[in-house]
Amino acid sequence: MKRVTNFLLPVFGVLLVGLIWWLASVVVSKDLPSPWRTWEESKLYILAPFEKRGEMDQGIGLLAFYSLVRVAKGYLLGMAIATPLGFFLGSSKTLRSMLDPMIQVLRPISPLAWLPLGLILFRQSEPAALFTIAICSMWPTVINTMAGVRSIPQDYWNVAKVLRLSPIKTFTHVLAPAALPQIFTGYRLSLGIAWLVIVAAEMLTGTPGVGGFLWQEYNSLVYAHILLCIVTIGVVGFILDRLMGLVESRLRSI
Amino acid sequence: MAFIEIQNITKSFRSEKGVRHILENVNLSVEEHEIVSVVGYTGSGKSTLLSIAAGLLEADSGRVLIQGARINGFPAKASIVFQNYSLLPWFSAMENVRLAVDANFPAWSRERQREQAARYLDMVGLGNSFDKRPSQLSGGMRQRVAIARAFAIEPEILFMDEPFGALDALTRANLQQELVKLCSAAGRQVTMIMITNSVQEAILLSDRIVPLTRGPRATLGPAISVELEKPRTASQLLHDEKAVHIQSRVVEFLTGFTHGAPKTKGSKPAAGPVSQVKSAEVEA
Repeated sequence: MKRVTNFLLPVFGVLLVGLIWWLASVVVSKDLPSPWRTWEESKLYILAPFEKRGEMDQGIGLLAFYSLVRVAKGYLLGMAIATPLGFFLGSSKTLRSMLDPMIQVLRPISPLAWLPLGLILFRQSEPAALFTIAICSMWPTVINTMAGVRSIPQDYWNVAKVLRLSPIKTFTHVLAPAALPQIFTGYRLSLGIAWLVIVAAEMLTGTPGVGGFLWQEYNSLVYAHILLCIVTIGVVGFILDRLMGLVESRLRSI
Repeated sequence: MAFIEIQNITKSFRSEKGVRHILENVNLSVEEHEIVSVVGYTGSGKSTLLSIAAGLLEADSGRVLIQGARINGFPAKASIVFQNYSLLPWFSAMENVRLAVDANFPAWSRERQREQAARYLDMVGLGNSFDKRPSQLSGGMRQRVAIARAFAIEPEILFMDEPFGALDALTRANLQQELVKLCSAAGRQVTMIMITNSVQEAILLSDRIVPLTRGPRATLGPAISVELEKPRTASQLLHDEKAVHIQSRVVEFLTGFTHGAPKTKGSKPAAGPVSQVKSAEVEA
């Protein structure tokens, strides 16, 4: 019985949102395609997800793949900076008092604000997009790594002292494993943000991907495809988060 | 000069709530191969004292000497067993012990380090649990790993910070007995400072018992030597007249201090053995 409701309730949820969508398409704006029309106009992209017909006219799977690759690059760049930065901030009080206000100021800045700066800096859309993804997704990892290092119990530091571990061994044997679960929480939140940023980055740079496609179809008045992109972005984001969640719970169970 | 000299240690902690004076003027000399227990109430500053003696914590004033040299950090050839095991949870029992062996015998091959670790894990009865993580072991077994880790480096000095404090009474009695065996089986004798809140445990294991008064500003009382044959067993001590006498002396001293009388002027004669003697001397 519980299994049935566990399965049925989310289905009801989806149907409810579909109903609101349909109502909005009838009552609020005739321009908004109904769920059914969206499916009719999008099924070419969904049923042949990896077909390439033109620069922007590609299956939704391919578009999502381009976006994922772009996100992966920007995200990895961001994490490569954020992780060591978090470790340094966690272990040095001086550094913390020096940089913490700066981080709090940079953190809430929207990707829409960073992107033009990236374009000025790099003069090309691709590096500007990566720059934006990296700088926006960094902060949760910086903050969580910092907190993770700071919350390492005194006992572990004592063990490192008593066993006379070298600085490198202290890092690999004590610091990193002790902070790892919390660092991973940072990675998970950061990935969520990186995926959030992709749409803005691709919209403004017009590169092929889910976000770029969304913007192009808005300009060519094919509104059904906007909804297709929105649903795709949501589903991919959900899957990414679940995957990270799996890894995270693995780490926490140690 | 004694093997370990703890001289005039004073320590206080500052926080937003104000200053807490933990230790004041603590002096203790420990001879080579001697086992000294510091007995006192929970929260009186025993662990703070041990951390300072082991070089893990800086004192406000005073100094700690080992063989005449001032210590700088945790001393070489020393081990410590903490109350809360302090094993690294991401390593197996074997790796936890081997890591300590590696730190002290870096020249040994990995194989030899593993053999050494295995020997000591065997000794504490964990021959079948080499690959278990601390989370897969019971509290008693974790402390066995910690004890194996302490002995596996063949230490000259052993610090014990309420090693059995977190264990139930039966496991505690068991492990105490094992520790007696390990101390005598180690071949060489170790010099040991143990912190405990159990007078019985102190009598079972040590040559000398030093009571720590209740804080704040805790300090050490007069030492009581335990002149009993070794190795001792808990059941034998229950009926031994000398042991019972020692136990009552320690308890009397400590309970005498619970009323906080010794430091105030005009204390009642019942305040505690030390102040009794003092006031008697003054009156005479």
